[in-house]
Amino acid sequence: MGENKHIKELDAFAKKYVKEIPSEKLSLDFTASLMKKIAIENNAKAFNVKPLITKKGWMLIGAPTLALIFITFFTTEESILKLPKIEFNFLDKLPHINLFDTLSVSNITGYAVLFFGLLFFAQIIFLKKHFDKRFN
Amino acid sequence: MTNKTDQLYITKVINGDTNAFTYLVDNYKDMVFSLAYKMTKSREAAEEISQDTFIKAFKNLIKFKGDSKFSTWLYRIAYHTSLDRIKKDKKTNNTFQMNEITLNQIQSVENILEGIERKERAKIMESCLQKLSDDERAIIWMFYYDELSLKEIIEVTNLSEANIKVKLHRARKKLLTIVKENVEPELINHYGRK
Repeated sequence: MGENKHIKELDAFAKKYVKEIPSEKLSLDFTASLMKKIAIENNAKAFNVKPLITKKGWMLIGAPTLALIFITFFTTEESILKLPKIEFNFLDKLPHINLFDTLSVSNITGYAVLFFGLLFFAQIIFLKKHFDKRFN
Repeated sequence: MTNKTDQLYITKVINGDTNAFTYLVDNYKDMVFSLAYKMTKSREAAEEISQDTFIKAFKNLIKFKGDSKFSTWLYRIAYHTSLDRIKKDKKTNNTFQMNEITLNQIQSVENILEGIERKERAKIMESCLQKLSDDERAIIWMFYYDELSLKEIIEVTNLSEANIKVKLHRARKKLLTIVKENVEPELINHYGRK
């Protein structure tokens, strides 16, 4: 009951004395430093790397691919397209040439190639981190 | 007039003129800072909130459809950014014992305040306002200092009209009680010295 007593008087009291409180002032360089920050944010936005293929693009590529896989799995031996069959028997009739028969690679060359490959892939991770740092 | 000018600068910013944002910042920075300061009670936090508010506003300016005033829209961002900050800082509000207020009490507090110099009075009011809870202080500030309408406060806070009215009334009562407790000893001192 007593909750709503003297609303008018309390309202007048607050109206009069709260308005007298001086408003807070920001430091003088606030606008300048804020605009600097906004400029940095804007530049970062320009550097934002957009994926070459968007999500929509992936959907457009993925859906037909999946559909194709499912069709090949679930259709019977008979092709739905009824394309003419190409015989590859003629390849057997060609003379065999084995270029790499006589080629032998030493173990040390094998390991060298293997480690070269490993380091090559390791570089990709470092390069990615490096560019991420540059653009953020 | 202000709405139209604001809209003009907003369009400029959206069209790529970043510097046009300076006009909006200069126009509203004190309003944003004051609200953030009243809510957090910390100058440092309020300055950070002001910066965050304007950066958020800049990033989302394209979403501002002009259904409400730009100042209300900005106020809303500032209010919610301050609330997030308060939640992060986990400041606890003291529980407050409030007794029934009589007309006599209101008049006697007013009489005491009238006897104090305006500058000093503003200081007392400021420190008393700080003793309210965060949401009460924010609502009092919006309603009485920045003179936002109830409709605008609803828009800013997402609270219901009834809830705001209850909070506002409680806050007024609490403020009067705090002021009374603060000025009574001063009055005793004042007369004691005479």
